[in-house]
Amino acid sequence: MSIQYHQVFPENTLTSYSGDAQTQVDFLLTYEGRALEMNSLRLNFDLDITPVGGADDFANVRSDPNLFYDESAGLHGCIESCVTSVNGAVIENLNSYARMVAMEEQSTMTANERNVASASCEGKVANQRLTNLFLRGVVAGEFVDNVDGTTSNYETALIEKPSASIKPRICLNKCFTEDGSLPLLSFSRSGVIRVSFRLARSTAFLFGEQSDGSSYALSNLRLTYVSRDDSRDLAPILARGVTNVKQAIASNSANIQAIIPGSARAVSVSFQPQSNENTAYHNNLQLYKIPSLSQVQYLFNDSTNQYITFIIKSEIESLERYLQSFKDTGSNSASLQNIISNNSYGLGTSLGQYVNLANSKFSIQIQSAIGTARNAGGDAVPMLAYIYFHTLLRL
Amino acid sequence: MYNKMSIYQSGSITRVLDPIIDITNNRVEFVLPSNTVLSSDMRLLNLGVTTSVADKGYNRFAGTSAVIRNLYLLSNGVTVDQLLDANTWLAFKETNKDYKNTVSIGRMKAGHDLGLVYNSRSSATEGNQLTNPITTKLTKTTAAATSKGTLSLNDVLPFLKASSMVPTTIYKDLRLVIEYETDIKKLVTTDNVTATILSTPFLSVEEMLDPAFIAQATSAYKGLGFMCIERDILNAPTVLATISGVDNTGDNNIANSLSLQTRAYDDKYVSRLLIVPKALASESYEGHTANIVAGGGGLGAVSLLKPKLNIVVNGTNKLSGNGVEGYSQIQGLLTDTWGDMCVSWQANTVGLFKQESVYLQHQNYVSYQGYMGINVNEFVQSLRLNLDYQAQFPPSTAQGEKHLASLNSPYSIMTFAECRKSIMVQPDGSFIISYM
Repeated sequence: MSIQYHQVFPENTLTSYSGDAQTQVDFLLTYEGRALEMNSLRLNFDLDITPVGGADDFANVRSDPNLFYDESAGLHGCIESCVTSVNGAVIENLNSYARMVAMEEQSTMTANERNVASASCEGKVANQRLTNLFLRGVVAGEFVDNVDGTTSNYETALIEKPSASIKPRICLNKCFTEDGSLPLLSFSRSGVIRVSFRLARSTAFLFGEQSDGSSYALSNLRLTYVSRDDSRDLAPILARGVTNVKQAIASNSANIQAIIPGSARAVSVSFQPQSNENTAYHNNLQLYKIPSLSQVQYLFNDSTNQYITFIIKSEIESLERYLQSFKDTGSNSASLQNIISNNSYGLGTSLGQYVNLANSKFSIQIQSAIGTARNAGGDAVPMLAYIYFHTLLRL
Repeated sequence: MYNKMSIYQSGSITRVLDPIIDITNNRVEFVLPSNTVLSSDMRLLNLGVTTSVADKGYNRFAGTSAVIRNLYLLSNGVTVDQLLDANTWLAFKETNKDYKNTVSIGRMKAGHDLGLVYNSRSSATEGNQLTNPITTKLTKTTAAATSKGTLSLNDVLPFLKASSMVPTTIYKDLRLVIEYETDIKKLVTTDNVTATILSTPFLSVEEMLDPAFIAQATSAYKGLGFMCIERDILNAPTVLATISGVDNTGDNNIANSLSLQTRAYDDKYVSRLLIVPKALASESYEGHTANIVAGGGGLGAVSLLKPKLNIVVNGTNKLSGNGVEGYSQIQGLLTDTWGDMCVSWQANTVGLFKQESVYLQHQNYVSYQGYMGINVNEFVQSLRLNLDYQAQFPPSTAQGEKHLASLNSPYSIMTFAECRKSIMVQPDGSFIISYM
């Protein structure tokens, strides 16, 4: 079965795609007479960083600009949302995309496990400090420790921009067939596929003291994918999608309700103080802990339309269920140290099976101290809940 | 196909074979039991070396398996399967695992140095972060004391991996021949010692005992198809940079654009292709201090500067546009083709900013995992590699910077490809091996 590698450029071709403009980049996937190999999409780009103090800020490590990105999401953090359309119909509209990647990554891998090629090419690293070094680029030459703090450490070295080849975690990259064969989507069935990405603001991607005024842009942007011969006798394809709902919580007793189109097998929720959303300094993808969670309750109708409700009063149990809502790999970053420092935390549960949530509401009731918690200024701290339903699509 | 459990139920015995020919530091040859049926799960035991000075580490990527240069499985003098430059392939296969598998049993079996660990520092504090907390296998001066490794032959001979059993009633006079590696830089991580390969490797095979089962299995055996691993070496005659004084844009660097024709895969169906560039400049594998060997000492893949790759199969570019360019895209294509790789952070690039603070002894790790890979999946009549990279004048002759010589070097581009092969048993009991 012959294989062909394709590469497409955005419809709106630019030399540079600014994050602050929240540029939308649309790719059209064509493969006439052939079949798309699912799970083969990659977004490739170079990253241009403009620190608030100018490029010299990155030239010497002693200047130590406080600028980072989320180490678990890697350069997925550049993407705010992603819309996938097949035959003109939207099959997945995923907002708060990068947060979902951070949640999934921290729930299924330890920091050391990012020491692999699949993570490295996506700009994922083990800790915050390494993200700062990554942003400075690839160097081929001798390091000179210029103590003035401004003269470049690599005056006699080629410096290349950091680059990434990320595998977008969208439904087209999470496909399988029931018989275990390679999932292939015939062009005669799909027509042209449109994949649209909206870039994240600089304050959503970058954080740290120098993030206020720093910016980023992507260049050399292209989407690659693989096609194979179209046998026109291809197995039906199932795809794991994600549907996102975002809701603010301001009281001690919150009731979140959602109706989603289709069936879901799990739900995962993460939190962020509303005042930190897309603001400088703060990591927009940080997975904050809820103050004094005392109880969480999930209510839904199962596949036999039987009303299910269960209450979780143990915080450890709620965290364990959150980790299981992704997949239980036995690896995760949910150490006590991480959770205390507002990382790797979330709520969620596996529903045990695919449950149709199109006709009935899914409810989450959270008892906590959100309404009574106060920040240093004495103000209430409403939180945003990002709820991700793990759905199943049939292509 | 036979179910292995049914073979085990018929009664078997494990035999540990000594070589019939053993020429020190050169080759060994094993003769497998004849007129019987063997399990394909064969293992080489007692692999390793003694060194003139004790406590040297084995090859960082291949571990104890670095001793195996070439490997042949012969029946009546006919090659059933073979792997040339097996230690380069094994260095790749040890890397071609996810992190958990690399650091667990893999490290214990082979004694490599893959799967570095981040220490707990997470602030902006300077300090080494990526380290190997334990060296699992060290050499000694005596055969009894030196650390030894094992190798499953399934990892190097796809014929065995595709087989559930090996009837020597059909594969008569079956022999395993191993040619040893002699380059000290490829055996251990120190190059100012002498190494002697252990003279007592053993081959562990499982032999079936039930005559009725052997007769039935022999008559039912019709052959098999498998993906053999073929190797080719291409010469990349780099135009070297001669002007020192590189700036941040690399103005004095020399762009090399090569189109390399390989003939090894003509008239074969090629599945996956692996490309392993090896630097030929003498100081390319100089480690952090004198006599320490960096990377895999030539068993790994050096990172090219500003790399760009395309392959031309039967006159057509496999990759559209400019092909793959840059470290990340090449690495992404590699993992899509071969699966995940335990590559330390940015070790596939030529260097990262302030790598001194990220790695303990960065010279030994960074820029030695520049593998490239692509899925060909075609019957090949001609295959050409289009490879672009830059040559850069080495900035310094200081020990800690000597490894940068690999950026201004001619290269030997080693390629491995999975080629479709079949063995068909004739009615008279003989067999025919052919490419499909």
